[in-house]
Amino acid sequence: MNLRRRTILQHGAAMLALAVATLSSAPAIAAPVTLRFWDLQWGNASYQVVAQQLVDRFNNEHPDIKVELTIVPWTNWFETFVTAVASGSAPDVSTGASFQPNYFHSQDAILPIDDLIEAMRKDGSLADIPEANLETYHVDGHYIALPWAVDFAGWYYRKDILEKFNIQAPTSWQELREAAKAVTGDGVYGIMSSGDHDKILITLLQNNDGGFFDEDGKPDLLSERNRETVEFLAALQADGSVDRASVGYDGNHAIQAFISGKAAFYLSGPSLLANADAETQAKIGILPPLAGPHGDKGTAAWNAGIMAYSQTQHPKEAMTFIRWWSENETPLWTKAGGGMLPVRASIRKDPFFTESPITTMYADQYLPVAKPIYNKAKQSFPELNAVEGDGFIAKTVQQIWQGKPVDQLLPAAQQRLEAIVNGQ
Amino acid sequence: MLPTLILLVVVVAFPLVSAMYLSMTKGSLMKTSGFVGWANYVSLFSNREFLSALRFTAIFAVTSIAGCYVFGLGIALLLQKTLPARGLLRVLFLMPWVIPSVVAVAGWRQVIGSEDALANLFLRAIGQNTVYFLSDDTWAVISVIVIKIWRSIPFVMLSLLAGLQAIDRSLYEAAAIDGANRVQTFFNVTLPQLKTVSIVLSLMMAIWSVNDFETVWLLTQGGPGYATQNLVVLSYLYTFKRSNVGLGTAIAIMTLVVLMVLIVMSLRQQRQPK
Repeated sequence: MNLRRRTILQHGAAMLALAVATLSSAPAIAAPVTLRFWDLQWGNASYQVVAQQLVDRFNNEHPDIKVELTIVPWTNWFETFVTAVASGSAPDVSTGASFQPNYFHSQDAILPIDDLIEAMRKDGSLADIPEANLETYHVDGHYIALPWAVDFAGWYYRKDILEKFNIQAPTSWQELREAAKAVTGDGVYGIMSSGDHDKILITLLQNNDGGFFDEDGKPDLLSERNRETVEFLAALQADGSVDRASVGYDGNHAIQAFISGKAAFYLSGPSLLANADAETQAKIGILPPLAGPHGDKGTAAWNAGIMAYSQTQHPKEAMTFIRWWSENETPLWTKAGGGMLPVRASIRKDPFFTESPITTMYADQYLPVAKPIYNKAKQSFPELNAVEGDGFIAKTVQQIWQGKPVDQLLPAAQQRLEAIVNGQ
Repeated sequence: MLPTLILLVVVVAFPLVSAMYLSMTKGSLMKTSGFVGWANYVSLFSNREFLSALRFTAIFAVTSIAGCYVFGLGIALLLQKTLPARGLLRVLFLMPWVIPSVVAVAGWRQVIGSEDALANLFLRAIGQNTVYFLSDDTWAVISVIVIKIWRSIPFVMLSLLAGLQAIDRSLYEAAAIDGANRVQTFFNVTLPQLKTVSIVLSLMMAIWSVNDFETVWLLTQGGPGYATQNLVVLSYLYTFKRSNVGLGTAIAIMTLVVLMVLIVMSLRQQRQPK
């Protein structure tokens, strides 16, 4: 009995020791790494829900990483990011506007993603993203962001207005001018614009093979092609084809005015009809890229990238998330009507894109002639962020619509552009 | 004493000294790149955009103060009298002050923002031409000032009404005995008695006008062109949109200097013997 009791006690002690040893040698269940992801509002009203669903999916598939999503509104987006970085509370990962990665990289705020690009190149998955888009974010020998979408502007037109006047859809600037003039009257204008419509000048400069910079990256707004472009816009104004009140409109007002039939043409991006009903969509078409006075076709393109910040404590996990987001982002378009076009060719094969005449037009005809704002300079640079943010392009457009003399506008714009490039 | 001193250092001195330092640097908020001394300040005097903003700020402040004082005093004099529904009128006159500025300016955009806006419908109905309130330089300046006056009248009216009610009735009785008419009574009794409150009001209105970002930004964003760009909008543009925190804060400090001069002038005026 004593023996049995001792044996039982010995076995019990051994089991207890084994249990303690097992517990102490087992790896602790680590808390997941938390990544703060700031995404901008890229799509329609359901974008936040769809983005959160994507984040939840990522979190389920990666129990060791927990991504927390914050949707940053476009109002004051730049200030939001600048103050976050300046105060040491930058997110780990974010999407951002076109030249945000370039500018933030120049401020030492961006974590290069060279290893991620290298890994994607090795396994062949990088081939899904055009090299031209990657190059926008290839700076100082580093890749600073992964492009995920591309934006550009095309001319939308009201089919009902053109039909009413028995006018064919324009194919050139001259035809656009004639059509705009012909339909103007009785409260309807040829062209709708707004006080913040800098896209119209940026796009037409590229269309006419001009641009902001020469081959050496120096400000070049005074070129002959640029003067022609501004004169063309001034001619539209002189014809009375542009709603004069549009100088005081913001973009939303202009879109509403166009969609409600107050103008025949409006230059905008792929997201214009993201929130429009079927009836409105049926009345609106998109023109193919127009031929400029010398037959050139082209449009301005803006990359959108996803990037990691140098303040992140979890670079490995940030790279994992960036890659996953880029590969799984299709619902941002198919379920949330996301603006722009995906840079991945594989995503563009989704019926959502192939069955839409507008996205098909953008993918087939605009994408091949799209050029970045730095175009002739070949290489992007950080000051481009200030060039777009400064407001002088929109102010130049406002002054064109006000009918101010063209010969004064371009020199003033050139002066401002030079000041920005020189950091003033 | 010590807690007050600490509070002053944290709330006033530290931000001010930081801003002074930033105004003497190059670079952005994220990465300043070197001390440049007074160079930013010197460059402002040859910066056409700054000079234009300074001019607009002065016009905006002076006309807003004058406008809201005249209308505010007029309404205060009216409300001082025994009127039917005086209480309701007081509430109605306070509305522009109570409505959040975003809503107020959005409402004004509906009134003046397009060819089909209410103001233009009215103008055409009485046989006048369409006015491009926000697309024409002069009209945009007028529109911004009018809206600023509209938003400021209630505060001025309320303050002056309190001032009017504090005037000793015996002064009016004495003026009446002396045979003074209404105009003489107004200029010799009412206005002198409102001097102190008027100086304080003008000072506060000057500060609020020079520092007014929201009215300008929400209505015109400084446009069309550069027509309504004031100093605070320009400071914001340089600091955030143009990533030039040195010039941005230099403009802010210059604005502060202008305000300090106004404050000192007003205080001196107040201290003068009656």
